[in-house]
Amino acid sequence: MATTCHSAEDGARRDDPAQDVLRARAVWLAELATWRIGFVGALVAECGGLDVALRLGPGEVAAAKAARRGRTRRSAAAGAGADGVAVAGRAAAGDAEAEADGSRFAAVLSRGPAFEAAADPSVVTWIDTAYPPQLRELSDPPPALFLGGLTAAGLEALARRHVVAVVGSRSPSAYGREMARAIARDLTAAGVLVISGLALGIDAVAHEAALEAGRGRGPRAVSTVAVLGCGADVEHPPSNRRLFARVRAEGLLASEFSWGVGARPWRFPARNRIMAGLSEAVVAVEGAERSGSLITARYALDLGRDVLAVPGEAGRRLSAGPHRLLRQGAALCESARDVLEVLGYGDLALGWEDRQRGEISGDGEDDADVDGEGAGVETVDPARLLMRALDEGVQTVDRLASAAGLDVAATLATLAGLEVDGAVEACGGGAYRLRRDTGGAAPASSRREQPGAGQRAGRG
Amino acid sequence: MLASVPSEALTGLEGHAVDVEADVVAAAPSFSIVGLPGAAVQESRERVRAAIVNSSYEFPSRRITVNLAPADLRKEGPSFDLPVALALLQATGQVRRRGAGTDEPRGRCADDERRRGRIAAVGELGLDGSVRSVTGALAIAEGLRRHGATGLVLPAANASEAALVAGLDVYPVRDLREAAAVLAADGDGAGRAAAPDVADLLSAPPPDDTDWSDIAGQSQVKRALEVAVAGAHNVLLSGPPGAGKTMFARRLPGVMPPLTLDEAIAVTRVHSVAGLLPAGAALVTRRALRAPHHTISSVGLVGGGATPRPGEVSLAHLGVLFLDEFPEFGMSALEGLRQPLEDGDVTISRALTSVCFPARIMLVAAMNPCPCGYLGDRERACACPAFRVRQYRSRLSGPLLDRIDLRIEVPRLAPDERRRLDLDETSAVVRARVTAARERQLARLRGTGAYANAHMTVRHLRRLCRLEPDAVSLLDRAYERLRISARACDRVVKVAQTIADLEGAASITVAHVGESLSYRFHGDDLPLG
Repeated sequence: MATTCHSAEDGARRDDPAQDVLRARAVWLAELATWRIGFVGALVAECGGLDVALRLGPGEVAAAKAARRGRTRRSAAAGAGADGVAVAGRAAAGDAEAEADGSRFAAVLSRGPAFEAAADPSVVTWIDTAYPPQLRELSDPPPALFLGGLTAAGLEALARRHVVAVVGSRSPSAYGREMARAIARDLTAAGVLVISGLALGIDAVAHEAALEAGRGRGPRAVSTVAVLGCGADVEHPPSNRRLFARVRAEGLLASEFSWGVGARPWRFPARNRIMAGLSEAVVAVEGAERSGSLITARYALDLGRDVLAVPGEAGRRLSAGPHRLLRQGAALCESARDVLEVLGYGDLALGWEDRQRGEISGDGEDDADVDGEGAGVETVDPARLLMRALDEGVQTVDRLASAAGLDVAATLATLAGLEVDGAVEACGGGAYRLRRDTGGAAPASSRREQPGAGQRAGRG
Repeated sequence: MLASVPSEALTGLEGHAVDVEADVVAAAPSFSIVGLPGAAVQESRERVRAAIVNSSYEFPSRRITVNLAPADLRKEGPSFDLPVALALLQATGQVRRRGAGTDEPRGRCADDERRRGRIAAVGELGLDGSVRSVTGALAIAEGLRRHGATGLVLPAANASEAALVAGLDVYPVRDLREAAAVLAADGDGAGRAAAPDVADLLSAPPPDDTDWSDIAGQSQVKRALEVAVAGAHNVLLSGPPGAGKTMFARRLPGVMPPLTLDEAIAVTRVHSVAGLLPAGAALVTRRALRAPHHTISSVGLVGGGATPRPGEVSLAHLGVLFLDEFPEFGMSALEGLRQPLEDGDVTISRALTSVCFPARIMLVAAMNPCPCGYLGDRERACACPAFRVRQYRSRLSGPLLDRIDLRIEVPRLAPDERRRLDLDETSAVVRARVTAARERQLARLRGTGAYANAHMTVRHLRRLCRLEPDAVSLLDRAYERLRISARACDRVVKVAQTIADLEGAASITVAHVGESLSYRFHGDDLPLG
């Protein structure tokens, strides 16, 4: 079948080629992009759209490539062939390359049936209806996406649900991890599809939290989408292997790079562009001033998506990136509620958040009694004293002990009780903090079944 | 003519009776030593020859044969110089033992019989005839006493430790002539080393250069270490560089209960064999702190060698073995620690012998949270890539961690905490509490073979530890919610028992379990950041 397609294609170039030929071309272009980042973008720019670019045969593309190369070499002076791909198509230098590209094209075509309407397609191309609609807004959209995991459900989720990217540093602080976890978990619980880049640090935390929160929605429900900077079948970084497997089982893996393509630093910005394109809002958690992990946020700004930044401690290296975004006008993000507001969830989100807060501080309403006249007479519950001290942030046991007026042994004993109940957690360095994500303590049902928090049909 | 002088050889800490026999016959001049002598013993021929001549004795120009009996025991070291010289002087008639030849049992009789009532000798000779100190004098003296000798001629520098052994007259000598005189008089009229006043030595106040109160603040760490010391629990300290991990470790021996006489002798024995006892010192009275560098070899840490010597783990017997930069230690060295941590001693097996050194230690391991040390620090950024941190931590996994009961985080103090100068407790106060807690443990553990809570087996735990109902329920909830393993649960109970002992409580309450839970291992779920 592949051969017939190929021979037919040569003769009928100007005709409307069969759908699967177009599809094969999209895949082939995507494979080209694997090695020449930006080339497809330039080609699309020259043709005035991917639809046109897909109608070029291998020879013409090769010629365009040669012309482009020549132009960049001889700078703009010799750019006489600038009047279109067709002119460049006659450049003799392109012949050998055209042949090579042509054979690669044939190879792609020969794989044809693999990505025809299977239950879980492994490739989705520009001409498919399942192609994520928001990606069509990109100036240089990927001609094809290579997929893994629950692909059909994943594509549908990308098209129908709110999509938010959670990105940040690969070596975040404990605070950054905690914020990313809480935001990703709560967003997922509210029905938002959380996507990220499956890198170390914030990305991994976001995926994990989303998987955790999305568990139990059903066998083919997509919890999270990972956009990769390598082939969708390449487990990178190796330490994320287990997470990779979980995303494949309960989520969607997507990449514009072909099978088996290794991770290279120069591929990550391209991946970030897709992540920004897929999402409605990008939440930047932590990153240094010039952090590569925040490139996604910059792409998102260019695309006109909402950008939110989680503030950090002033003056810290990892706070510089988000703070810079905030200075440039990004929205402040303290919790998932801020994201939901940006997405237009409004009041529904508010009630949910307040309920959650009530669970953290326990029966907070009788705090006033303790402060008042009763304090001196009644023995004060040490747990409440500690919780109040922890409300101001991370505290070492020594400080907690002096704040609550307890000795260290009693402080530790009380903290352990609170930890078992899921109200506080140890965060290293002999310090404790309140658990922002009360996942361990809150009854699962109250978070998962929010009114109006399910899937929202019909994206604009 | 034939003469013999009893002496003693050590393998490890165990003494073996050795008879040094010398035979001088009229034949072509020669000097040979037989009886499996090591290199140092072979060389003693030269030292003995020079020492005899330089002490104004005559070295016989006849055929000399020295035999070290029994002939199947390997003899090492220079401590046979003195008995060889003395036997030679007797064999040539230059020294005559009073009444020798009449009451000396000869022929076939038990070794102990033969040396009953006799004076033994050990010591290294200088070429000028001076007698130099030897290692392991205490173990040698104990061995001789067991083998029936009544007197021991030995270097003056080793006299006080040997004098600890009751029932053995110790004659300190400075040179070969003095030694010969003691032997000739059969001990009569010779100066004997007085037995040291052990009670006085043991009750001497420890030098006050390091005290618990030197460390400002850090009350959380202090409390945790007090618990660890009270139950002899092994601990892992984790914290950034400069937080005070080493400072704490150095002060740990000072808060441990004082050594009893038996314990002090046991420690002295090991230190003496290793040659670490200062000249003239009778007894090690303070608990040891050994802090080997992380490049140490397995043999250096655990002990061994062609002639087995005690390693750091034995030198820290009844004291503290402090391993700073714990993950940097060699895998084989750390693996070698497992047996001593389990059994309280080290057994080194060689083709001919197997040697056992005591090694009842409290292990204090210390590590940084990451290779650069600043992970999780609020002021300084960590420069380690995540995979390096993972790698660093993964070196800790394994059975060794199972033997560590407490994990203690040592935070770097904020400036205002560091400046705080309130009166902190002194070592003496903490030591008193720890000692009381240890006594309670000993009373409870009587008959089990364990001497502290850390060494309780699971069966001891079930039988001896009484948990109150709400303590049980907290433990159950922790088991379920915090996902701690069953083994970790046992550790929590052990440590809770120690906390109860510190308090003098009869049973383990919910507060004890709670505090103990906070010292548990967080393992992989501890955030990397």
